[in-house]
Amino acid sequence: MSVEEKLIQKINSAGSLGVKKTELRKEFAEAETDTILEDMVTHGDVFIDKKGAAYYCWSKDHYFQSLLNSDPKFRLTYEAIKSLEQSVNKRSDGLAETVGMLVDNISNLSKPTIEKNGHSSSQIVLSGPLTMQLEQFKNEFDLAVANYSSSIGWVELAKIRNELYAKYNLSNEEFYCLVEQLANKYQDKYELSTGGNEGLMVRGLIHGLVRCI
Amino acid sequence: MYPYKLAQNPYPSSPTPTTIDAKIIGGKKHKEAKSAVLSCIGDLLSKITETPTDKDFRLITLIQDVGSGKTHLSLHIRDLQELSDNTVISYVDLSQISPRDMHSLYRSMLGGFTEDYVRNLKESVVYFLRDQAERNVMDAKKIFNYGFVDLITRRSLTYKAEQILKNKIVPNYFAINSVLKEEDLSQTEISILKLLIEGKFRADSYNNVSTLEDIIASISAIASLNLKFLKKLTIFQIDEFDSEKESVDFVKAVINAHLPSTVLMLILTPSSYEEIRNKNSSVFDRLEKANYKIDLAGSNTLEEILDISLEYIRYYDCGNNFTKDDEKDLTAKIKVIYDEFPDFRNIRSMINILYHATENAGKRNAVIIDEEAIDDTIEAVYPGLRIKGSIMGVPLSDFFKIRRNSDDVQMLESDVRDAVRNLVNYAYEIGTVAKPEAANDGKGNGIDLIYDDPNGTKVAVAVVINKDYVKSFKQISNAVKSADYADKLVVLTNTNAYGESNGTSIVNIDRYKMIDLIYFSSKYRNKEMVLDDSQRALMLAKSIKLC
Repeated sequence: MSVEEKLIQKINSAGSLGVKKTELRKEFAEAETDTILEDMVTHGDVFIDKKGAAYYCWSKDHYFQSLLNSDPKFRLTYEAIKSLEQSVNKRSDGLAETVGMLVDNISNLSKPTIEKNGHSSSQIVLSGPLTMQLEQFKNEFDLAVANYSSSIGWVELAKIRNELYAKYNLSNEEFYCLVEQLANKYQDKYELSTGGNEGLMVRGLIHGLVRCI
Repeated sequence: MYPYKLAQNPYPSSPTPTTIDAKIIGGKKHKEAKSAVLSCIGDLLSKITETPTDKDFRLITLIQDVGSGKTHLSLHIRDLQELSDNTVISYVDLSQISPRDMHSLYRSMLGGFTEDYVRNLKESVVYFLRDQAERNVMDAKKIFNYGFVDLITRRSLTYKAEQILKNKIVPNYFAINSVLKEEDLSQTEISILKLLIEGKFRADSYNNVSTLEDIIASISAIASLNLKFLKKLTIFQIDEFDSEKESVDFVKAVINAHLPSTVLMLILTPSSYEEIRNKNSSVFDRLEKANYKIDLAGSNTLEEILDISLEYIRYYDCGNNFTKDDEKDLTAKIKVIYDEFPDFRNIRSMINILYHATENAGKRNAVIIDEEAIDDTIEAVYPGLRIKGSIMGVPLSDFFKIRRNSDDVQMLESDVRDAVRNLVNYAYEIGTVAKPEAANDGKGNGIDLIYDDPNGTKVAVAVVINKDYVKSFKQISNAVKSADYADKLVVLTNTNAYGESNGTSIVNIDRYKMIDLIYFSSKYRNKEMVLDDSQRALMLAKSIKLC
């Protein structure tokens, strides 16, 4: 057994009372005890603290126990943190249960739809919220295009954005993100054109006009 | 030699169409638009009598976004053989006129007529005058200075007319004035004809006009003369029409004038149309009431772009070397470009890629436009372009190949399954996970792979890829039931599904992830992994919750 291992064993055997540093020096006189202990402290294996007039050494767990026994402030803080942890755990368990129930419910709800329709638009376990949002957005968007379009069918995207902002408080970024998704998903349905003061950037040009083909 | 044994690159290289390129027209929408224009012209032709009236005016608007083929269509119509017998066309590109005022606009309208037209009109007028002289109409012979010497030397009036056409003799302009007056021609018409005979047709814009009224009278006169002497309609094509005040006011005057036997074709973008609406409601109202509003809606759809792209090859494929298989192959490649890069969803951009790709393939003597040609083209011409969301940095050429093969879902599922096994094996080789085991127990339990992660957690992996999502749902359910011996189950699927509960993670892998996986797998199998790939592979594994 090496000197380091013997030192650790000695410190562990002392338990939460700890062992005096001077005792270790005496017992391991032939070794460079201070240097070895410094290394151990650096690695977090051993803790050294003053108790009374002498310096004592502890292993990690025993030092923790020693602090709990001897320092009322530490004990109180520890108990407060533990209580908080228990409370958080309790709530997160409840949340996980609720989410689990929701997942099951959505799965059950989507299942008959899949079986009935049997095609690709359905989601199996838990669908991403964006898909739903996109479909809802599509309906609103189509309606706005129909309402605002000129005789040749083109509408400024800014007009539609203003309407959807007024209705749903849809931000600029969200609106154009959804327009981009819509134009990509339904390439044969929508046509974008350059122009306007705001719009989607394609080929370095602002495309601020749209129409349904 | 170019691909498909073509003698030349069929695709134009210029950013805007040229007269030669415009001979080719493809695409259902463009052909429909062409038919609509021809129908308008045909309708007007059927109604015109010898004496044109202000009812014989038509307005056509051609509105579509930049790069969609408006100018191409206009030039194609201008050079149509079937129209050359009954129309004369002046094409004007307003973007080339600066500063813009009524004089420069009128000058460009005169400049838009071809030299052939000017020569034909001059010939018609001179031979008309000769006919008048032969019929001994008063003063007509004086036009040709036809006298006693011509008579005894047997020089005919035709000879004298030809001399005038060759600018070898100067006609008697006073006599021309006198004869044409008898034909009920206006003074403006007579002035234009005199300039024409003098060889200074386009000088009218400098000499005889000072007001907008004069200009409109001159344009109207030209249209009347075209009908009288050439029996042809006049078509003015004004391209790049915009909301600039000078152009808008000029066009308004032209529309209001109801030019006889004339079609005015305005070519503009939806943006310009909107601007005109905001700036000049009076002109906008006139545009709204256009006789024909040519709509190129859908001119940027895949179907249209494909048809146009293929039409160029068909046009130059004299030896019928472009087979159905070649067509299918090229169609698939164009579709990939169209789907993956929104920047190329217009015909001008696509033609540009095809031009460079054809050049590239030609230099390598490739028999088709191959993936390498397209890859090199995009790298050279659009160096900033990347496949969106690719972790492995898949080169475009590999992306094309994998993407094209991914239409076969069974093959795709098998490739992805192999790729996932290879990815976990690779993670094991570099010490990230414990040695994976194959989980196929022959009962079809749906688990493809089992391994221990660095925390000692036993992870089971199931790959579920189907077109039929109901089938996927069942497969996922089976996998969940079968994986009770594992601490964690990762289901990789294309079902648009997400979720994480009771140790099961459903991970949605989209087309890009699958292509990343297959690309990694190919590199791993062929022992082509380099340091950078290693980091990317680990990132890929993390992104699908495998590590």
